[in-house]
Amino acid sequence: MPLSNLCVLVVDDYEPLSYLKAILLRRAGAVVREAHNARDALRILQTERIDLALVDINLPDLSGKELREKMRADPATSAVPVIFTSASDRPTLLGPDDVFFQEPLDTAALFEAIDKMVQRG
Amino acid sequence: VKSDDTEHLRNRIRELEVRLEETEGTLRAIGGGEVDAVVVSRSGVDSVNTLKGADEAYRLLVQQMSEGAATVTLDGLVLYANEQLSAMLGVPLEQVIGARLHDYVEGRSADALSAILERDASRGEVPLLHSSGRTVPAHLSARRFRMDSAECFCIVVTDLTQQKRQNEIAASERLASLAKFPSENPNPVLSLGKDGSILYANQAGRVLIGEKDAAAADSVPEVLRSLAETALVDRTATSADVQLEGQTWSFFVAPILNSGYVNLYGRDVTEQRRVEHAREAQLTRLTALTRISEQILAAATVEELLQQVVDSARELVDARIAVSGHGFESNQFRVGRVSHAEGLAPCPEAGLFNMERGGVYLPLIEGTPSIRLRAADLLAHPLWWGLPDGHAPLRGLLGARLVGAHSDVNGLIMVSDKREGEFTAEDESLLTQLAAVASLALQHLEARNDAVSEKNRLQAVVDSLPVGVAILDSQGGNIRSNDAFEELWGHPRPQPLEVGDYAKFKAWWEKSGNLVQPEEWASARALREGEAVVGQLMKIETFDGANRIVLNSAAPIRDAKGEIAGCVVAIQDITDLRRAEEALRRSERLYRAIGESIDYGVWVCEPDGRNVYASESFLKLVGLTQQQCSDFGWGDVLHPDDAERTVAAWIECVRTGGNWDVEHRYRGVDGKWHPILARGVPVRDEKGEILCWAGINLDISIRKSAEQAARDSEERLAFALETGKTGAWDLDLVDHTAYRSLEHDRIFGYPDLLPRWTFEMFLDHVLPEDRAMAEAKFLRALETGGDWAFECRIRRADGELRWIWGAGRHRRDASGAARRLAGIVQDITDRKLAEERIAGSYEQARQEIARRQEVEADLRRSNEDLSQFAFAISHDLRSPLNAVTSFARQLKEDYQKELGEQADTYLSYITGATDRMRRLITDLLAYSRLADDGGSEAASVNIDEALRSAELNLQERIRETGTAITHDPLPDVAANFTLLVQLFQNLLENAMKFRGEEAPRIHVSAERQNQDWVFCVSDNGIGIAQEHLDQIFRIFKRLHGDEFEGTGIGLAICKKIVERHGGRMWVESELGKGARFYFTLPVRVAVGGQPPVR
Repeated sequence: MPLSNLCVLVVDDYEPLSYLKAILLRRAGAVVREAHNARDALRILQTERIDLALVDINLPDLSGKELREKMRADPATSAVPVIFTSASDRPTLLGPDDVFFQEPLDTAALFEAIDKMVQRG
Repeated sequence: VKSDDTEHLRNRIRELEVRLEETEGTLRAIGGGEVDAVVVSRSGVDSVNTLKGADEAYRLLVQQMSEGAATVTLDGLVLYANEQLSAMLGVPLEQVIGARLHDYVEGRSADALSAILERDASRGEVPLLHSSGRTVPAHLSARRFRMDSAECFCIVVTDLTQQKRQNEIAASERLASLAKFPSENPNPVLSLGKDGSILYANQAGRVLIGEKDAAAADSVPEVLRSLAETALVDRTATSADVQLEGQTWSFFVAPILNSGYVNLYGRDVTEQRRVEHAREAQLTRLTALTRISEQILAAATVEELLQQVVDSARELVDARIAVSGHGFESNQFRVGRVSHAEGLAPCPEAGLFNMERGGVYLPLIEGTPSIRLRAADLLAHPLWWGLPDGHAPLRGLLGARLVGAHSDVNGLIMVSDKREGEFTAEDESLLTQLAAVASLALQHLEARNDAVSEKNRLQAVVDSLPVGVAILDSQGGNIRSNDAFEELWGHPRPQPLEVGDYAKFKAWWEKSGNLVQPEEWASARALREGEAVVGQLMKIETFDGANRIVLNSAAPIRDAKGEIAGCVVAIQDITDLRRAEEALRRSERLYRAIGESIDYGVWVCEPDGRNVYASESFLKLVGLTQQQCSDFGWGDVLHPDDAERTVAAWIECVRTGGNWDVEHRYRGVDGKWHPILARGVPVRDEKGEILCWAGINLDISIRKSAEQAARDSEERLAFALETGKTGAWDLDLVDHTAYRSLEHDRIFGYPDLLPRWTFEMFLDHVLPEDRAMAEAKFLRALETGGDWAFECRIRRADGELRWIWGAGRHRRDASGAARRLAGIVQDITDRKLAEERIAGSYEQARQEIARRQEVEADLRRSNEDLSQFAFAISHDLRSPLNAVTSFARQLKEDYQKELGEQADTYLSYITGATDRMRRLITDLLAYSRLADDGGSEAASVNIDEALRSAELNLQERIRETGTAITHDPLPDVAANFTLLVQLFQNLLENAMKFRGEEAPRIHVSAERQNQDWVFCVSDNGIGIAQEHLDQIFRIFKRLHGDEFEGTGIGLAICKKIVERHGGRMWVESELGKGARFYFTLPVRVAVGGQPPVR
């Protein structure tokens, strides 16, 4: 299983898509945690072991980018890699090093990227 | 009495007479016409200048004398001597002249000579030294006389050698007679003792002393006793004449010293002595005549000469009265010089002497050389009418003719009152001879005086000339020159002796500057060619070193034979003249310059209208020469309309002698008419006659155009006032009269001009509520002198209420004081009404604009909202769409087998619909992004490159459809590259989409049109129906059904992209014939993508 033993946090306010992403990640072997806003996401990140966060750009309380900034600001969460997703085109506010996937997701490519980004033991 | 003595004396007289005759002849010869009247001055040893003629006459005279003669200076230097003197001294003549007379005198006689030369006239025996060493006994007679400029002595030397010898002979004869025995001696012989007693007397002796007792001592005449006594005392023999008994006795007194008595030998010399006396007297007179002749010749003036003649005449004939009379005219003659003995009263009637009273002179006048009347004869003469009271008595009369050169000195010499006896024939002869000599001398002197006066006159003229004059001899040597000549050439000036010496005189020809050669001088040419050479203009360097400009002339002098004897040179210093001329020229230049500085210069016209002078500027203007202008050429260039008026004015001007002040036009060489104001005044001579008119030509074209401009502006103003319904007024602040235009009064409701108008009348028309304001503004303007303007309402004369506007200003005179007020007034009622209307409309318009601006703002806002909404919605729509797509895809993956075939179909419809939905959303998003400022970056874009990028993006589809894309060379434009790529991409897609049967062919071209590039993307597709052309750019407008995929937003985006770049887009097409999409892009697009101002 490509994502065995990985704990991935899916952050998306649109539940159907959050659900869909969680199913796909779990099928790949990952442990999935879900948050529908930035506040919940940060709480989970601070309290649980998360290997990677898959963050939708448009969140109701913060943008995905802002969430990432908060994560970076907190030493407990600063090391967690982030992949941004959006139904829209790649947002211009992302930097070149930011990893982004447009929906509908190309799962294979996504899993490959996750695998690359997560530092395994 | 020895006959020798008498003979000797007779011979001597004859000699003298011969000499006088010779002298007379010589003088006559001189007087007969040989006297040279041409004055030639000659510098002698002592600078004595004499007349050549006088010199020669004198020389002839003295050369003919038997006596020696000489002219010596006051200190004895011999200027002239004759051959006789030379012979006396045994020294060649040329040695004598120039020597001192003292050199030929014995040492012990030198004092005697000096003594003679110290007095005016003296004589004495001065023995001379002969070159042989022998002493020559001589008698010197010297007379001082004055020659032209120096004094000298005329000396006559008589050789006494002969006389001395004769005296010695006489003495020896006397001794011989003494040797005879006394008793035989027919002459008385007496022996007187010491006491004077008669020791012996012979017969004749006794007769002499009478029949008295011989012993009586006192019977011996005292004179004889005295002689005897003296002889005894002197112990020397003497000889003496003694007058006894009316007889003259010559006694030889011989003392017999040893015996102490004296023998006296007497001889009756009564007759001898009488003859001797007479002869001696005659000799004296003849000598005197000779001397007198010399003196007369030496006389400087006629008066002096005549005085000498009368003095000499009286002396010659021993008379008490002598007088000269002159000018026999109208039976009268003038009393000339008078000489008379002391105590005598000569004629009291000096001056004119009436002949009728002196008829005794008539024979003289009639030609008789002399007359002689005894005293008794005179008194008995039939024409003797006696003497006036107080006249000295005339005893006897002797007269001789005096003939001078001039008739007024012609006359006579008369002597009267002989001291002893009557006038003798000898007297008459002497006087006649004197008169002859005097006549010659007179003629000579007069001639000389004439010449002298002529010479003096000439000299005076020459000397006073401002011109340098020199008289040159035939060789060109300088004989004489005047002061001006000396002054001109300066000092030290060399004395030229011949033409060759002229090289020392530095001169250059004025014209060529070449040196004047000696033979080129006027004098040299006059001497060579014998013709006057006049006016040589040359520059000379004087001997003082000064430079002068001179005019040099010369004329030859010819002698009586016509030979060239010399020449006269005249040299005139014209340096100052030249300077003056120069100054004149300069001043003329100055005047000319002044003349030329006047527009068209100055002019001078004669009364007949002939132009004498016109300045160059005028001549140049009209293209005439002075000659043409003088030949009435000015008439040809005068404007025809002015001609008649000008001529009439000129005639009037000449008639009245007034000033000329006429404007007329002249045709210039430029073909234009030039208005000229000619002004002039008459120029009068000293008598007040008008010579000409002189004046100036002023260019009044400027003034003319100014006048024209003033007229134009006046007309314009009048037009403006009239058409502007504006009234004008002009108030005189002094007399308060006001000029108004008709319009002015009409504004106040009067159909015609009122007879007068005042400020008060104006105020009456102003509505009461505006009156104070109007008056205040007016008064304030008056106080400050400033301008004013106001609007007020008036009640017109016809009762109508009107608005007027007035404005005015002060008009000042030359001193700056306000003299007038001028202003305008305008009825502005209509304007006021219009303004009110406009004011209402404006408010409406303003509100409308505000409203529209609000709407626009709302619109803009709603547009923005819309845009944001579209953006938001497009994004938000995607998530559910994605969910649908993803779940449909997941359903198919997970449950395909279980759902069956039918489910597959359903699922594919779901995914198809969601895909389409997604595209729509994407395009909508793209379009909405164009609404905001997304993609606004402009840079230089290579259209070619943009097209290629679009092709690259569509390469799959291009390959599939077999589309051929071609393009022309495409330019660079300033644009957003991404947008342009999208533009081309959409257009290419569009062309490929609406393809016809054939494979698509797309061509892209570009053409420059003004500031735009016009691009055309043409295809061979199905084309567009005419009625749809204006619809295709609308958003979501799809003309076709499902046969063509697409969102219907592509062309709308294209149009939007073009418009964002400031361009336009349109399409030309016909159904079935392909389509041509045109769009423009500005050559330059402003940064920021805003369209440039067109």
